[in-house]
Amino acid sequence: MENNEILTKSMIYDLFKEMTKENITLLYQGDFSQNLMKAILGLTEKKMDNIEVSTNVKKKVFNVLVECVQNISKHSDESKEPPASKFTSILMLGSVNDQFIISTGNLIENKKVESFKSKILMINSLTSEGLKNLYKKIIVGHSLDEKGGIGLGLVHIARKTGEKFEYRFDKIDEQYSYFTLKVNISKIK
Amino acid sequence: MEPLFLEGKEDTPKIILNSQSNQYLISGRSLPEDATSFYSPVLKWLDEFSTQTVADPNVKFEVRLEYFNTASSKLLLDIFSKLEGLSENGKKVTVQWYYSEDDEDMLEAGEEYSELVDLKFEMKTY
Repeated sequence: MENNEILTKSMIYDLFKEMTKENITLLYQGDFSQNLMKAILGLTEKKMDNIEVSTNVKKKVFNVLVECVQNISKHSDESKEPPASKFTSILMLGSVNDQFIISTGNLIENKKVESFKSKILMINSLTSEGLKNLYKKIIVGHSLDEKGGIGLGLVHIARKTGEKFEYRFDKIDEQYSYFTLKVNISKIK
Repeated sequence: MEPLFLEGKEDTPKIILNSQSNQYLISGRSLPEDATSFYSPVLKWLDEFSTQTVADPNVKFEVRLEYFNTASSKLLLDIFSKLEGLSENGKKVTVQWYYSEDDEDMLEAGEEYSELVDLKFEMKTY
């Protein structure tokens, strides 16, 4: 039997308490489209109005959210076969102490994991000057691909936040893994 | 030449390109999913504009963006490259890059574009 007590026993109050305790502002699971991005931005804007942080920090949060949502909509893989088909994409915005935390999760094909991991490690290894040079190199030398991406999203996020990515890949089956990315944004900058 | 007007939306900027009134403006937010399609009429317009002679050669290109995604950042560079071409044809182009006083990232973005293209940039706060 499935253990979904929150639904069957009207325990949404407990879910609310849990989310409040964890300081989760926004949690979305499902299909990632441009309309969803607009909705998320609208919601986040309203919620951020009540939080005492600078405009600069608010804009950083929007910037990172936009890149995260568009990264997922352009690059996440989909599976039609269980178990991987059950793993939809997820986005979470919360805050801990003096940081906002944005986490995303999505499916990725196992064969792409290694090259993607090296890309994250490479970005994590760069100084702000190195990131700036990489950004310029990509924006000048690359064109948008057929999905309308240019491979700048993660570099841009790393530059805007000045933080290192935390990530993990959990293998689901022979073909797919679940990719989790965590981005911190300081409230003070 | 026909002006180009695009109404601003929640994820795409307002655009005015009008050689009669000598007004050139991009303002608002630029977060389209498909930036190439969105900016294609702008690039086309600038191509045609480069072949036109104008009464006043001074072209002030105003950028008043609140924020833009990375796909748009590439297309902005394409626009600036076209503007660079205009200078070669005798037009005097100045990019007026507006940023809000507390938005260091937007100032930095403008400064970086000015390092990437051979155009005069004026940084202005609003």
